[in-house]
Amino acid sequence: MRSNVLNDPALVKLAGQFAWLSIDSDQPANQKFVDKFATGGVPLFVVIDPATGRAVLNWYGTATAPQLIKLMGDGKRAMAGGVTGADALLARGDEFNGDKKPEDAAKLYEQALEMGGKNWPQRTRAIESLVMADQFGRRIDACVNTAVREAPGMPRDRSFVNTVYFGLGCAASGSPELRELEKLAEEGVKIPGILGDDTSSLYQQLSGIYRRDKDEADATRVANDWLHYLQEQIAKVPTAEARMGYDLHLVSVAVFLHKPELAVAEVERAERELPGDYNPPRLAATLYRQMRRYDDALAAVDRAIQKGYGAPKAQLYYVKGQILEQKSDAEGAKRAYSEGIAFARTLPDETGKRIIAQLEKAAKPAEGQK
Amino acid sequence: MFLKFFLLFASAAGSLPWIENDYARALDAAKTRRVPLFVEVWAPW
Repeated sequence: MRSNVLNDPALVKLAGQFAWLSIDSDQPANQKFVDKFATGGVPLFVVIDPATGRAVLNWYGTATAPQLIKLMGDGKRAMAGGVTGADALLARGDEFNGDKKPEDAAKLYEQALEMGGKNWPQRTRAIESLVMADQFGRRIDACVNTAVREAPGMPRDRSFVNTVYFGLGCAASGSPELRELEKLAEEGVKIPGILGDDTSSLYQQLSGIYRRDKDEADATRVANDWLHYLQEQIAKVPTAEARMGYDLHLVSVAVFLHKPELAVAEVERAERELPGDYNPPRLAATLYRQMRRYDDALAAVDRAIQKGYGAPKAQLYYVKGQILEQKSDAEGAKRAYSEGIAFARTLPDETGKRIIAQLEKAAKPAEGQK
Repeated sequence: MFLKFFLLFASAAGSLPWIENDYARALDAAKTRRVPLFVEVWAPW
């Protein structure tokens, strides 16, 4: 995403119309910003009115360059004021989203859709924002109902894929709504021209739901399609950085299929090509661990710890402890957890506390094995 | 790729003039230029 969309010439033309800030959410120094503006993970795009310091637009997930330009335009219009009708309701919904009030945002998106009607140009964007806000605001029934009602009539584009993705996440096992959304998802993963992150995430969601619902044949069929999709994308992308984005998904599908060996060569290549990035050795540790190559997993996690920072680095000590426990090295595991706790104490309060609690809990059984 | 503040005034030909991990500086830049602040929040994983 970073290496493709954000360097798109169409976006670069807007250089003078915005100030541009890039926030690495894993950097401890950025924790306050993340706490203030982020509700539901990354990637996240925010447009902030510098006069008030408030977010006028808050957008989770990926976007193509034209979609991003449109969103930025929405943010600018919301700042400038003067929008009316359904557009104004959409802008107010975006502001509530920016203020981390997804429930209030969802109500405004619903009103905007009602006022805007079927031919409103912002309709698909508003539907996508609505299901997202429904899920973040825990309006689970509304999330499912919106997705099932709206998705079939949407153009087959990114907004469709994401509406189905969020709807699937809200639908209950065995419900007729879930069956309907599964059919739409089977269609969604095949739509050409969608960003890889979005397609891959829909594959992951769909295969995971089939497995959760004990439909192993469909889970495996979809995961195999997902694997082939990723292999094709990896072969096409020109840079190691862009491939890394797909490698994260590749490891997920290899682990899902219980075939970690499928991703080993790609991850080892990534580590050679991106020697400063902690992700390749972190992923390698996951794969080697599944393959019961515990010494290789330990060496990989140590390399990842050396390169890592922030909360993910603290998590790596947890992984190291787990590997050592699998090697029946309770003393070593205890040391790893202790080192992790010491490191986590250097992190900002909330993040640090959460990880310390996890490491302390893990350390207790490790002590008991002595 | 830490870019200096003055680069924000240039229309970048090849890439956007990102300020990295410095909200206060980016907010100041947006206030000075009276433009919205666009933020990308990401993670390296």
